[in-house]
Amino acid sequence: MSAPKTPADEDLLRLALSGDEDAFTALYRRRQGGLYRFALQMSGSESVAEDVTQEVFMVLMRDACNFDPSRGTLSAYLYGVARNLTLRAFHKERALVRLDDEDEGAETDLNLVAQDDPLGDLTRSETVGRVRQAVLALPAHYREAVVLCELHEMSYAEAAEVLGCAVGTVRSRLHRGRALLIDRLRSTREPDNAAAPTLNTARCFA
Amino acid sequence: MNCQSFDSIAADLARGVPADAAAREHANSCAPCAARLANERALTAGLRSLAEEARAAEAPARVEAALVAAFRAREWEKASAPADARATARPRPVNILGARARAASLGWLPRWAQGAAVAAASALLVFGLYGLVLKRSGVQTSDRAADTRPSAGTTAAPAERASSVDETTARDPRGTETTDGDPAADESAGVVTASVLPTPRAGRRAGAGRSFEARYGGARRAANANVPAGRAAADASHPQETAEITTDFIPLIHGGLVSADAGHVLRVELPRSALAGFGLPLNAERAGERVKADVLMGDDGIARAIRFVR
Repeated sequence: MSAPKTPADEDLLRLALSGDEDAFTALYRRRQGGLYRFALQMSGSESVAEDVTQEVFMVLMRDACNFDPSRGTLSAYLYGVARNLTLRAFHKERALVRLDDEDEGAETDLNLVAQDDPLGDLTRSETVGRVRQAVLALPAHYREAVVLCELHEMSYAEAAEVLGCAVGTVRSRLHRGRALLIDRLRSTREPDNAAAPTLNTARCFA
Repeated sequence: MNCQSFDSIAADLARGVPADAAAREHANSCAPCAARLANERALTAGLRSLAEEARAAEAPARVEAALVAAFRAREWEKASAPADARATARPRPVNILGARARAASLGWLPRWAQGAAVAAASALLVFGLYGLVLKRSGVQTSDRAADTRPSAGTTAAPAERASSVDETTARDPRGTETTDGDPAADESAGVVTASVLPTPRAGRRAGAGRSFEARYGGARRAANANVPAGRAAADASHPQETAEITTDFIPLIHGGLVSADAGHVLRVELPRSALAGFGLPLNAERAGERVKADVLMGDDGIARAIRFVR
């Protein structure tokens, strides 16, 4: 006997719009966790994450006509709404500490100048906290690329659909975001060495 | 392959993209690039640990309860709308549970203290309302007035107003549009004046569903500037706006919104200082002024939730 087919998100939405409460609940339970974690990882605030999660589905109830299945998946649509709402909360709350824009100019040099000191083990609980803070400190457009691609394991194409930009843009933002993370984690790990001269190893550009 | 080329793929290599022979050879022969790759791999491991740590995180159960309640209210509204209105009316689900409004100023308290604070606030509100009712009428009546809506600028007689308080007019916990008539203020009581809202009408709303925008609105255009039209649902326009803006319903008892299968909404006026008791911002210079509020009363006479109106 074949297993019952799990209805797709779009099917659940269609049923929900026709008044099927179970379908709406099923859709909510399927997607709420990812949306909540996305908003939480972007904002660092449980209250913002909760508000965003609720508002995403309120928007879905209110304006489901704006979802065009020919332009992408419902999941990407919901993440896109969550992203907009989270960014709106940023502007209002200013709850996060961001790296200054001046840091972006230095990242190019960092990419070409190898600094050999290793980051060490970032998987221990005490260091995971540093990673979390470093992610929250990223500028928003880098942070969302890191959160979607690294923490939500989206492909470049999926993340591009959520962010409404090109795949190359996502890749570029992700790589720059990671470089900023490495630099920040290295500096927070060894604050005493922040002022120490860095050995610029000769690089091969042949 | 040179270092610059390796730099451009180091992150992908760390994320599990298979390395070609040239990349492997360069990593084996170039110490700085090997170190760079090691750092990228350490970062990837750290990010995956972070993702794993957050994997169990999900929205609290109250969010689902609020959404289900809003869904049901929306379906009720659609079902009760006239056929022609149903064809054109846009659904207005109610955001009746505001996490931030509820927890704004109580989050630092332990849970038992939060519950006690809410219970105390609700008890004060209930006693204030019933004190007004008893003072005005003295005797409960069961007469139901044909029209409970006070005319603008007029004052209903105390007995009529008291009897109208008992009427079940708005089954929908969202309440309805309100009149412009200002019920006579009970200056001597100094706390509360009340009037009963008229029967809800399909398609009309009193500012419900705007709690997120009320809290975070203002940067709407900036947030949606680079979003394709098909994705800008968060900025959907609402052409049918009403004059009033309300907060979310703030539950006064546990499950105050979920359990409100029936009841009515009571329009009251409170001192603005009451806002602080519910965790809402208060302009100290206007603390002595009055603010309108809708109280969701259950059939058992217990006040279940409150929202403030502007």
